Amino acid sequence: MNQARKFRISHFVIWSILAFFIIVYGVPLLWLLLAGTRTESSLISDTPLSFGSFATMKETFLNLIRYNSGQVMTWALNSVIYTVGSVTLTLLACIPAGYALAMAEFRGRKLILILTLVAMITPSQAIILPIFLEMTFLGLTNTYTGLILASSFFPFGVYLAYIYYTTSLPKSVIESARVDGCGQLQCFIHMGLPMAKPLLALVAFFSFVNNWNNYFLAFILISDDSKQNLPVGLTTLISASGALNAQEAASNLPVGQPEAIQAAILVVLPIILVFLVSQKHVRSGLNAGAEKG
Amino acid sequence: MKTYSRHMLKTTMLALAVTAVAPVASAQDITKLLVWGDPIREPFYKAFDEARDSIELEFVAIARNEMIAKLQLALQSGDGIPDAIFLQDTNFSAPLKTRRVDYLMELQDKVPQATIDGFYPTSNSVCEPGDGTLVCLRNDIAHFMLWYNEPLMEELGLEVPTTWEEYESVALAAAANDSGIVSGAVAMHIPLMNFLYSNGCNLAIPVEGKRDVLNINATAPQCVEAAQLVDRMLDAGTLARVAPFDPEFVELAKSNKLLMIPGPTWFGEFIIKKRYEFPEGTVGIGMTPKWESQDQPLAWSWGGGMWGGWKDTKHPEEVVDLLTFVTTDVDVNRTAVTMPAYQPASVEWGAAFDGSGYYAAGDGFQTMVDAATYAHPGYVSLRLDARSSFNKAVVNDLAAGASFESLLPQLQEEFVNAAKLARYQVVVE
Repeated sequence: MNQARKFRISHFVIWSILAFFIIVYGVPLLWLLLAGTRTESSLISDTPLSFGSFATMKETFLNLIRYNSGQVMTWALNSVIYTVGSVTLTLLACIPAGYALAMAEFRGRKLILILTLVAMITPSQAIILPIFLEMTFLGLTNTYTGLILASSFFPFGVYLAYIYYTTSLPKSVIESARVDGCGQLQCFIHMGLPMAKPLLALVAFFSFVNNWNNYFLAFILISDDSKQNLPVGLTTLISASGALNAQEAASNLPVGQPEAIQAAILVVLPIILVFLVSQKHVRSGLNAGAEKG
Repeated sequence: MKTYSRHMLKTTMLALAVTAVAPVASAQDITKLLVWGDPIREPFYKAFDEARDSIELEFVAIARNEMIAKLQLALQSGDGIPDAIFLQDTNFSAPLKTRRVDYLMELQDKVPQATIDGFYPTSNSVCEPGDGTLVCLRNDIAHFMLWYNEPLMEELGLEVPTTWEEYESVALAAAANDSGIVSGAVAMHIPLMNFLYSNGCNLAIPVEGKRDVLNINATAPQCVEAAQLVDRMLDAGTLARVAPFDPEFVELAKSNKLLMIPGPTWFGEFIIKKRYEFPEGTVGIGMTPKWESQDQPLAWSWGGGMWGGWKDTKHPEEVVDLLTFVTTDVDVNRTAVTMPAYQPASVEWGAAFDGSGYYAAGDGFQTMVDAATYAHPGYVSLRLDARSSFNKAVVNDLAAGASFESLLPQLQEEFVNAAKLARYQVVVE
C-alpha cells in the first residue's frame, strides 16, 4: 500500500515537472506556429493561442518571400551554403582531431586538450576582432570562403569526438590492430570511422544549429546584401520595418508582425526538421559512453 | 578587291580596338562609393545612382542597432568604411564625432549656405555638435503635433485645445460620466519628455557654445509643473498608465475611446492609421499645445534620421553631392516615408499627404509646417541614452502607480550619472 502510494507521488512529481517544462518551453513554440496564421490585428485583439487561417499564413509568407524580388530566398540559399560548407569542414577537422587526441600519445597532447577547453569557454565576442582582422588581412571578408572558414572553428566538436572515442573505443583494440600491421590512418578509416556514425550525427547536428543561427560572425564578416545569411538579412529587414518596435514604425516596407513571425518560423523550422530526421543518431550519440563498464 | 579587303580588315580591327578600349576608359571614369543605410533608404541611393552616370554606389543594408558597432569595427580595421551613411537615430551623430571616433565629415563649408538655410528651423540641430560645425544633414523631421478624433470631439461638443491646461480640461470633460475616453498614454519615455521639454524643463540640454556641457535640472519649477499636470490626468484616468503601443491602449483607440494624443509627425500615417485603425476622414491634426505662461509652443521631437559622409573619403565632392541630392531632391522626397526636413522638398510630400484623403481636414501638412517653427532647439544628438535613464528612473514606477512628480529627483540623479559616464560636464540651472 505504502509502495503504491509512493509510486503515485513520484509519478505526480515527475509529470508535474514535465508539465512545467512543456508549458515554459513548448507554449512559446506553439504560439509561434499559431501566430504565423494570424493577421496583425488578430495578434493584438484575439487570445494568444487562437488560430487564424491558412490563407493568412500563405499570404504573409508570400509577402515575406516577395520582398525585394525574393531576397529572402537568396538569404536562405546563402544560409544553406554557409551551413553545408561549415558543417563539412567541421566534420573533416573535428572527428580526426578527436580520434587522434583520444587514441594517440604525442607531445603537446594535453596542451591541445586544454586549449580546446579554453576555446570552448571563450565567448565568441572576445575573438571577433582578431578574426575580422585576420580575414581582412587574407582578403576574405565579404566572401563565402571567409565566413565558412571562420564558422568551421568548432572546439566543442573536437571535445565531443575526444570523449566519444575515449569512452567507446578501447585503446587495446587499436594497439592490437597496430601489432597486426595496421597504420594510424588505416586504424582511423577502418575502425574509428565506421563506429562514429552517432558521433558524426551529433557533431553535425550541433554544428548545423550553430551555423544556421550564426548571426554575429556573418554580421561582422559579410557586408554585401546578396551574400547575407537568413539571421542577418532578416534582422536588418525586420528592424527597418518597425514590426517589432513601434517606435521605428515609420516604414514603407511590406513587413509587419505576421511577416516577422513567418521569418522566425523560417529560421526555426529547418532546425526542428533536421532534429526530427536525425534524432535517433543524435540521441544515441549523446548516450555514447554512458554504459562503459 | 584586295585593297578593299585590306581596308575592310583595317576598319574592322580599328573598330574592335575601339570597342575593346572604350569600356575600359569609361570604367576608369566611374567613381565607386560604398554607402550604408537601412532598406527604407535604398531607393534614395538608387535614385542618386541613376541620376549620376559617373558614380556607382555599393549599398549595404544595416540594422539600426548594429550600425555604430559595425562602423567602429570598420574604422578600427581600416577596411570597408562607408563613404556615406544614413544614420537612423538622431543620437548616432554624436558618437561618430568624438576624439576617439572621428568619422563624420564637416559640411558647413561644403554645402552651400542657401541649401542649409532651406532646412526647417532647428532641424539640423542634431547635426551640430555645438562648435559651429555641421556634420550631417537631416533627413526627416518628427516634431510633436496633437492628433485627435474629430467626430468624437464634435460629438462631445469640445474644442481642440491650444494650451496644455486646456488639454487637461478637455480630456477631463471627455472622460466625464465614466465614458472611458482617454487622451494619451504616458508610460513611455518620449511622451513624458514632451510634457517636460515643452514647458522649458532642461533635461540634458547642451549649454550654448559648449558641446560637452549639459544642463540637467529635472526638479526645476517647469518640470514640476509639467509632472503635476501629468499626475492629475493620470489620477483622473484621462491619461493611460501604459505605452501608446501597448495592446490594451491600441484596443482602446480602436474602440473609439481615444479623443486625442500628442504624437510626432509620423504618428498619423504609421500609428493612428495602421495600428489604431481610425477610419478615413476622422483624424484631425492640431498644433502642439503651449503652456499658458508661454507666448508660443515648444515641441519636442520623436525620431528623424540624418545623412553623413566619411571625413577621409577619397571622393569628398561626390559624397557631398550625394548627401545634398538625397536630402533636397524633390522627386526622391515626394514618396519619402516621413516629412522631409528640407522645406522645398517637403512641399510635394505634403501635397501627397493632404491629397491622400485620409485626414479630416485637407490642410494638415500646413499645420505640421507651422509646428516645425516651434521645434525645440535642444533636440540634439547626445552620447547618452535618455530612453535608458527614463526607463530606469520613471517608466516602470509610473506604470506601477507612482506619481511622476515623486520620480523627478531620481530622474535627475539618473541623468546626471549617465551624462558623467558619457564624459559630459553637468550644470544645474
